[in-house]
Amino acid sequence: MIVWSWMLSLLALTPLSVAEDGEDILCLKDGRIYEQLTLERVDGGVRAKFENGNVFVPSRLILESIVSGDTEFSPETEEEKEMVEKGLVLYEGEWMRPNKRDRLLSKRLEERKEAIEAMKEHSLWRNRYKENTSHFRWEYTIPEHIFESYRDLMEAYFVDFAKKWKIQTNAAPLVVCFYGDREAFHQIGGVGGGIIGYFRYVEPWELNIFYDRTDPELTQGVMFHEANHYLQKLIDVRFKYPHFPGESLAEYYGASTYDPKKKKFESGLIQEGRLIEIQTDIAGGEMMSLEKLVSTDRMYEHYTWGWALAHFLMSDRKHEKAFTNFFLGLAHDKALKDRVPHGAGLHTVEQDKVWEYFRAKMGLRDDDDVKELEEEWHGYIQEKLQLVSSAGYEKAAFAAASTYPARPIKAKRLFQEAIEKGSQNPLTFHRYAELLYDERESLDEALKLWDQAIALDPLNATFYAAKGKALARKGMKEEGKKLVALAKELDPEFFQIDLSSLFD
Amino acid sequence: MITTRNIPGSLRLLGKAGLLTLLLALGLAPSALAQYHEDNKYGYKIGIPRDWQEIPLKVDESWIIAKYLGDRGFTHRDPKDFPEHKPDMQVIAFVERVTDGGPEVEAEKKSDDEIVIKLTNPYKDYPDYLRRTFTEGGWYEHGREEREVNGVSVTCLDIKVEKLTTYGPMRLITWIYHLEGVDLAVQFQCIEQAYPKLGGAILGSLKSFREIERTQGPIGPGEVTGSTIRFSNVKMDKMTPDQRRIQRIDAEKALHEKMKERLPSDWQAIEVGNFLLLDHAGDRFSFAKKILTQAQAVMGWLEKTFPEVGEGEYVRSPIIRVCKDIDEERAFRKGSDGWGGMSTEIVTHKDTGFGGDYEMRWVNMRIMEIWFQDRDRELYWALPPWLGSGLTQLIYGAKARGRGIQFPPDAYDRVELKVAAQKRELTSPLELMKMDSSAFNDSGSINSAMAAELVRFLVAGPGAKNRQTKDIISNYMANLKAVITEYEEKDESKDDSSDPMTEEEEEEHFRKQREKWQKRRQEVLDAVFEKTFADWSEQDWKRFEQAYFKSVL
Repeated sequence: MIVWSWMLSLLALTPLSVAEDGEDILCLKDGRIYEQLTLERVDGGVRAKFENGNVFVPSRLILESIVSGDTEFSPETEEEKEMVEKGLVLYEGEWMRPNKRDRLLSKRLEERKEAIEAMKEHSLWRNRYKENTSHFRWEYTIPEHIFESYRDLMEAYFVDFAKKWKIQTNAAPLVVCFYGDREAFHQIGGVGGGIIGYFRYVEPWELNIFYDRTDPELTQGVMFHEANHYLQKLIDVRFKYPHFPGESLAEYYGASTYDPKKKKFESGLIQEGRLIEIQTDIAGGEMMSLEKLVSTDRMYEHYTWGWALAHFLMSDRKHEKAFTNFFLGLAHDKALKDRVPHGAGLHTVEQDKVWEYFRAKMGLRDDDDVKELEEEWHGYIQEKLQLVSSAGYEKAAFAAASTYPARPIKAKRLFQEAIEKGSQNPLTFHRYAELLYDERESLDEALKLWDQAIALDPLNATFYAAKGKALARKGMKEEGKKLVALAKELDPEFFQIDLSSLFD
Repeated sequence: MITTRNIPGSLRLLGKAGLLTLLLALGLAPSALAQYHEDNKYGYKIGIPRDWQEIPLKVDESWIIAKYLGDRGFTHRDPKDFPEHKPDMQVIAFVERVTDGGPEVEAEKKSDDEIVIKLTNPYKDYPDYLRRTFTEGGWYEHGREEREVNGVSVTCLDIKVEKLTTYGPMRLITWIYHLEGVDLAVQFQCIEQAYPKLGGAILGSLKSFREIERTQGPIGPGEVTGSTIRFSNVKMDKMTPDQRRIQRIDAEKALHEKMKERLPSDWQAIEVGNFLLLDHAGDRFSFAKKILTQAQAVMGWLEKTFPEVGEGEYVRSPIIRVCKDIDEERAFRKGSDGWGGMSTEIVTHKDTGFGGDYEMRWVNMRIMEIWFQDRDRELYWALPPWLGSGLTQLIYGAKARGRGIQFPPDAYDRVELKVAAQKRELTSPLELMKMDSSAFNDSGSINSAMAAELVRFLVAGPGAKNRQTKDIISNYMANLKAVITEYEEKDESKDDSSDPMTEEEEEEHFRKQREKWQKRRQEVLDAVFEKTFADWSEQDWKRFEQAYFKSVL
């Protein structure tokens, strides 16, 4: 079986049916393409056959499938029976002779295969798609139907930001390189480790991002965040915004949404992942001081507490005006004399001077004023900023499970709440099951959760391997072994490590 | 055996016209190739572009089987100059039996307290290798073609490196020769703008590839073993210093032998005292000797100044590899194992700029790391910021003089201190010594300059001559060792409270643990401070500060 991790841009056509056994093709809506499968069409989807078990894939996940041997037509009505008796077959709503049907079928199949081949070709960077829009020059390898939504988001984002921050520019459209997955982003974008997007702020300017099929929200957040650095640059192309407020405002705009029907762009939503980090700090007894946050250079907390500060200031009309003036003034204010060279012909303001300027523009005349604003900000974080979505609860649960020391009780409660709020994230069910697996008495519950994870993402090998392990613990060694073997079939690369000792 | 040969002298007999005809018949540019690289273990030979030089392989290299470096550099201009880049060539072997194996985990119980877990995750093929090792920019396959060269089937890749490159856009021309049991990837790398000039020589080399007889038996695992990560709970610390000495001497001997064995013929190896020198500077050890003198001086000073640190521990002999120039050093470091290198190897080059200072400083630093690593690495890792940073900077600037060593003050640090003094922003030594890393780093570079000058004052300044202060650093280290040992024992014996049963208990436990860890460093700092300065009065501190500030301002 060959798996392609990029997406197809095909319409959901009538299922085709000429491929030989073992040559079937399954394209999922999330972008994965499986070739050399043996598929069988069943009620509500297809069944993929493997040596160690069958996997049911529901129609809601399928973008396209080419299945051999499902051309047989079973007549049900009298009229249908009559036509079949005449030697006719029904194809695409039309009765015809079988040889005509076969000709048409072959033609369609060829078209479909060519389309798949073309899509595969476009998944290679050398054959990438290129498209120009009003403000961006796109280069991408993701399927066009997925790309279109991001393209529209970015245009709306540009217009909204430019209006609010009074940007007038005749800059050439920004090149945006949009990769099909994280690995391609790291390899072609030339970065490694935990980097999930970057804006190249020296010429030629360029934005590099990737599509994460398991977390489209992350893709959008990163795109908005990194694009915000570009938009900040358009405030003054010779100025490099300091880490605070640059990263903090980018995070503020990272949580935005666009309704294409109402053509409404909304920014300043809750960055739930960041909020959870702040809540973890607070739980650990760490409150951030305003002065430390604003005056310390390159702090990680500029993404978390800095976001919360930007959110707080932008949520209040009085503060918003002062904060906006502060932000624009860093680049434009002629009275600010503390700009220093940053390299590549750019200027910036050092972080300790940012604090002085922040105090001046926010009207913080003495330590009492600073304390008052700080208390107001801390109160806002604790009282006003709340998790709102199932994704937020998921993130909180993942965070609680991975802190050190871990907080499994809290994590389980949050996973449960995420599920109750309608989570459809298979990883939520998987991770929750793992926590229960650690408590031997909850194995049955864990197994049910793994079943739910599998129902949501039936071709994910991890869930079968985990469930297999749990079955083995329950004493069902043979069943468990089979599931681990199935996991190996689904993802031969990852599951090459021999886990057979688990079943001894 | 691997050999590099000049084109046989017999070719001269052909005369100019005959040679030209022969080379054209071989599909080579007339002056492209001047030597062949032959490898009768993997069974191939290939022409090397004229005047390209062989680069030694790292002793722990498992994938690259040959390396060459071009004789001249090229600069990408667009419109500004990028740094100069020399083209290079590598031959990388993907032995079928290794690449097909996939990741493996081996656990071996050697004794009750020793389990070695080995994770081997070999590269699957050349693209996988490139993905996991190439760090010089973002790359993608621009072209791929299958062909045959001298009876060998070949996959030809044209790879472009375009994003975030140091040297400007680059190109990798890699031909993968599919031989029995092994794929050999021959990779040429150059900047894009150099390709029109180098393309002929590169293609000439790639087309010259031929299979030859393998005379060293089958190739396979054991020869090329893949990247290996070792997780070991072997408690070296539980051994006696004598047991460790035996282990280290054995390892050192094997390493030195392998180092010498892998040395190209135009390199020289010499053992001087505790050091193994591998030299390619081409000046009859002149630069290498300077480096050696410096290294010996630093090592000698550490032994003399901190005799109680890891007393009785054997420090493995450092290996100093002196490359001809920075390009050669870069080419040597490049490859499957990145910039890490062996833990006792110091790779440097003949530095013609700034009087060789930067390379000397680098060597100083590595000597200190090697020394502490074998003497007492836990103590080294536990040094508080004022001492860790100060000692590092002190050693960094050290210079051998006669039979001794000098620690000249750093002009930049002095200026920074003077500016801070004018602004009344200087921190007292007492405050500095009590700072944890968070407080130390929060104040920018001034604390670092303060620490450098404080340590210099204590080991090479007036503080080193004063009865009360001359032993501060050695006493501090001894007390630090005692305190961290005490805390380790406490941690081992402590029975943690029962697991939390409710979310509230869990949150409380989480908060307490976080606070405990935050406090821990400060507690250690305070405890060491108390032990070291227990009998100091306010007057003592005042005198100390006065003397210190007088000497540095």
